[in-house]
Amino acid sequence: MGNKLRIVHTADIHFDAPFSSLDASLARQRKNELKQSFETIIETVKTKNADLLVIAGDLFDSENTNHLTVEFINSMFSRIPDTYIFISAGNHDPKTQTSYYNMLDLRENVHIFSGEFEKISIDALDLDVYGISFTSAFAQGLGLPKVQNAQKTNLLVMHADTQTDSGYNSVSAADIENSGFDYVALGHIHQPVISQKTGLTPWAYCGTPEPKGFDETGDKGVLYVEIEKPRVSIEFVKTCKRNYYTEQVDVSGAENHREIAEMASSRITDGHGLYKIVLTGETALSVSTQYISDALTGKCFFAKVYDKTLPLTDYKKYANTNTLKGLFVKLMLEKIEKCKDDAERQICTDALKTGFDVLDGKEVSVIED
Amino acid sequence: MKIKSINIEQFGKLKNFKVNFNDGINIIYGKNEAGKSTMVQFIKTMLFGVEKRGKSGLRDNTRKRYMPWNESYARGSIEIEKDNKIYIVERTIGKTAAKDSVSVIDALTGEDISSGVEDLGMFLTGVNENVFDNAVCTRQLSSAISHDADGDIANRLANLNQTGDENVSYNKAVDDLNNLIRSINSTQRKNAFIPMLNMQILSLDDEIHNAREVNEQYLRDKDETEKLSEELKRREAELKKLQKINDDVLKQRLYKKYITALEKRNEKRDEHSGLQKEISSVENALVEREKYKPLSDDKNNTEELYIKSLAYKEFDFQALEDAKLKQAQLEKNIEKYEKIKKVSFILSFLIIPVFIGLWALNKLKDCRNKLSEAVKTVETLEDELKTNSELKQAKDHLNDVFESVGVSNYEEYKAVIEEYENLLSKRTLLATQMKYLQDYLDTYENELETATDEIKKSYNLDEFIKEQAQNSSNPTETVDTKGLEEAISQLKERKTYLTEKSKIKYENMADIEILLSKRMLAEEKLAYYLAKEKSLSTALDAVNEAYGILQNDFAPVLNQKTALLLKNITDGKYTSVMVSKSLEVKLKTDNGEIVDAQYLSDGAYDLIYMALRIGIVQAIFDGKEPFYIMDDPFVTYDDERVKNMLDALKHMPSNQILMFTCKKHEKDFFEENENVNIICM
Repeated sequence: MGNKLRIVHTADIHFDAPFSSLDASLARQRKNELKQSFETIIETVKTKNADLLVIAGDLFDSENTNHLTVEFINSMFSRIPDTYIFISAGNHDPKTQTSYYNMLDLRENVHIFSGEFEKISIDALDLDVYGISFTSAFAQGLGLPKVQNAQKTNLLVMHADTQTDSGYNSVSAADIENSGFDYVALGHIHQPVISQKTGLTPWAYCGTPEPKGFDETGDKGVLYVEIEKPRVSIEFVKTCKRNYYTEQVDVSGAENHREIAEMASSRITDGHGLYKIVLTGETALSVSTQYISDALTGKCFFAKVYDKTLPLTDYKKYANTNTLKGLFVKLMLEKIEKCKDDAERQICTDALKTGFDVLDGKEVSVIED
Repeated sequence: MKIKSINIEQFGKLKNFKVNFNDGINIIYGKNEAGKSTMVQFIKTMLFGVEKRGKSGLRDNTRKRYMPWNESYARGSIEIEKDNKIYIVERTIGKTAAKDSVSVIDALTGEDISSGVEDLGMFLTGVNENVFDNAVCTRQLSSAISHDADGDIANRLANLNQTGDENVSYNKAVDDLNNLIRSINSTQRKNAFIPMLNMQILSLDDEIHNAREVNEQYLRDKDETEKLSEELKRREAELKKLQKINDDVLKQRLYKKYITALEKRNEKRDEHSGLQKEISSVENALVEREKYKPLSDDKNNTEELYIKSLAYKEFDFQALEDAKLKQAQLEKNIEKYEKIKKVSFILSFLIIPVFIGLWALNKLKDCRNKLSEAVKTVETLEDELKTNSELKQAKDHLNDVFESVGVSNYEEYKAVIEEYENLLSKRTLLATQMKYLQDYLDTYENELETATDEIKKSYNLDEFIKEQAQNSSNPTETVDTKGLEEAISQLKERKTYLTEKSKIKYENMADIEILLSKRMLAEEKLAYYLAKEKSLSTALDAVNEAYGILQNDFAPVLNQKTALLLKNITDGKYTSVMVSKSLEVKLKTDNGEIVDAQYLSDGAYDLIYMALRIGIVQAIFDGKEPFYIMDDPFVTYDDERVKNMLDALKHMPSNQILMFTCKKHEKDFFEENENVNIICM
């Protein structure tokens, strides 16, 4: 109990990064929620009575940083004066002459690592904390420091990519696992990743505490790590105020928009969530994403509907006839065949669908919802 | 392609129904609800199958609609002749697509070719299902009875001519696509999406740029404020130091002033008490010599007395007596001579007496002279006596005075008085000195009081004196702090300006990420519309390309076929149909005249329409074997028009026509014609 080390591990907060797909009012709300999320992290530090808060990079989102954010972080840090705070700058907030890190109140308990590996010893905790910061937006492999005193608890904090040759301080998982550290706190990957193999150094990406787009689905939070040498326990603590979801909804068989809306609606299980609803399957309906969006209003915090349905029409049976429609279909099918990539194919498929409908005399709307 | 026969095991309401068809015209006659439409659908279904995923309504869902009552499948076969080969198509339609099955047997080889053919309908008929539906298999011909005001029939004609499909308008499609493109991107339309979004992004870029600048300015200001604060702190410390020095100097000066005043005051005070003592001794001396005071006052008298006493001599009383006697003698002589005179005068008449009188007169005169001399001598002596007594009196008085002060002579007296008077004048002098000294003392007393008050105003007097007494350093000059104070005030002013500025300018600073979010959203939309524009352009290009091909390859064939038909059914009156780009339908007569179709009669219109419809099918089947299925084509036509059309039909060269009708007179029309196969249901 006495010599159990408690760490809250976070990273990739990306303060002041834009929120994709959201209009200004929702984006503003999300901005506030990101702050709340950070406040939750600070509260977690307090309730867990953590000895350390480690931030493994990308606290800021570079040039977008607002001065008020720095003031906010300062005020948050001031709430945990007894917790050691270690920060390794990442590729989005490299430590430079003009870095926002220069504006942080560097209280005695706050340490921002420099561009060279540093070792900070905390004798009271019998602990050595190693770390390094990015000093520009890219960094080749910075390597790993050597553990100097294996008797102590040894911790490494850095922003790094376990994928090779990414340009973001690539370091191999195997090297980390054989580094001799008791825990390696990483940042860069927004999805939590925990690796604990028997006899090897455990390492983890804590992920972002609050998601910012549909590429960041799932629960988001911080890692609460307890180290009682050699035992290391890693616990995920959810901090995010909202989750992002991407739902593929096969609307084949739906006979009208109401049914599509119901199908989409049934996939919304989190009223606070942000949903990307991708309609798939085949339908004879000319899908109005606007209608579906409207129908989903109030079911969740935000929903954006994408129509990726394929027309039920079997265009092939129209081809090969000497009519305008037949020739049009034939030409379009040939074009689609020749498409080099998905984007082009998407455009040509849409052209076929739209052209076909126009030739059929149908009302075609091109307005995005 | 020709349909030799159909064999319906069960399909819709028809069961175990078998029909053979001939080449040329086949009239299938049956009353309403006899199953004609079911038969048409059966033929189509045998050829093309059923859509895998059915539409919702029963009416549109072939699978459900033609499933026999209480049965789980529909089934039948159809015998086709194509390219001199006979194929037997047998299909089963189950409740679901999975239960469907089909076989196509080559009657000659007995081989099932169905698995080797991708699109059976296309393979068998030579056209796709759409063309089969729209052109080959004609349900009611245009419901319009005449070429209406909207030009519906004219449009249909134009469409048939231009697109091969009376329901598809090339011009409308192009217009629609162009309008859609313009609604997305047009330099003319301000509300077109792409220019609008581009503008929005540009203005957001501006806002973002500004917000970043403001943010940077804020940071610069903040930095400057911090530096100012440090500078201010430094300068203020410096000022405080200087002020302390000045304060010390002033204190020392004040102390010096105090001490000087104190010393002078004390000096004068000492002088004062010395003088006071002197005055006291003089006063005492004077008190002792109080008795001299009247003498002093009487000094001049005394001197007079003295002088008189010096003048005093013993008086000669005898001489006075002698003089008085002489005087008295003379006075008696005068009296005697007077009497002589008087008597002489009275006796003047006598001569002797005159002489006596003259003598007496002479004698009188002499006596009177002598008397006046004698009187004078007496007077002088009497005066002398008087004076002498006065002097004697004075001498006596003086001696009294001498006696009273205890001196024996005037010299002594004079010395005593002089001493007294010297004391008096000394007193006066001392009093004057005292007066001046008092003035000095008062002045220094005042100075001391002022200095004390000055000290007391800011300090505890005793402590101040104690403290300053220990300070041995001499007061130096004060330092001029004006420049420093001015610099500090300027720094403060700048700091206040920056603080105020930050309050106004940075409180409501735009959030960059919100602007970026807006920009991302606009970018997403822009990407959508750019893709949409590309897709519409692609569609438009394809429509135009298809139209070009149609005009190059298909139109000449269509025109040729239509012209032939037109010639046949109008007895050579019209030789060809032309449709302009503006969709005006014109006809060429045999003598080369061009006639605008809108001046044609309804009957002529119908015929042209028919010719085009059939011409299209022939053009589609160009070089192959065209066939038609007509399902009550003239149901809305009046008798006159029907006759007209049927007449025309007889003149149409074709391989096979299946015409379904519910009208007896249509059947009857062909009855006498032996080439026509009439089937009654």
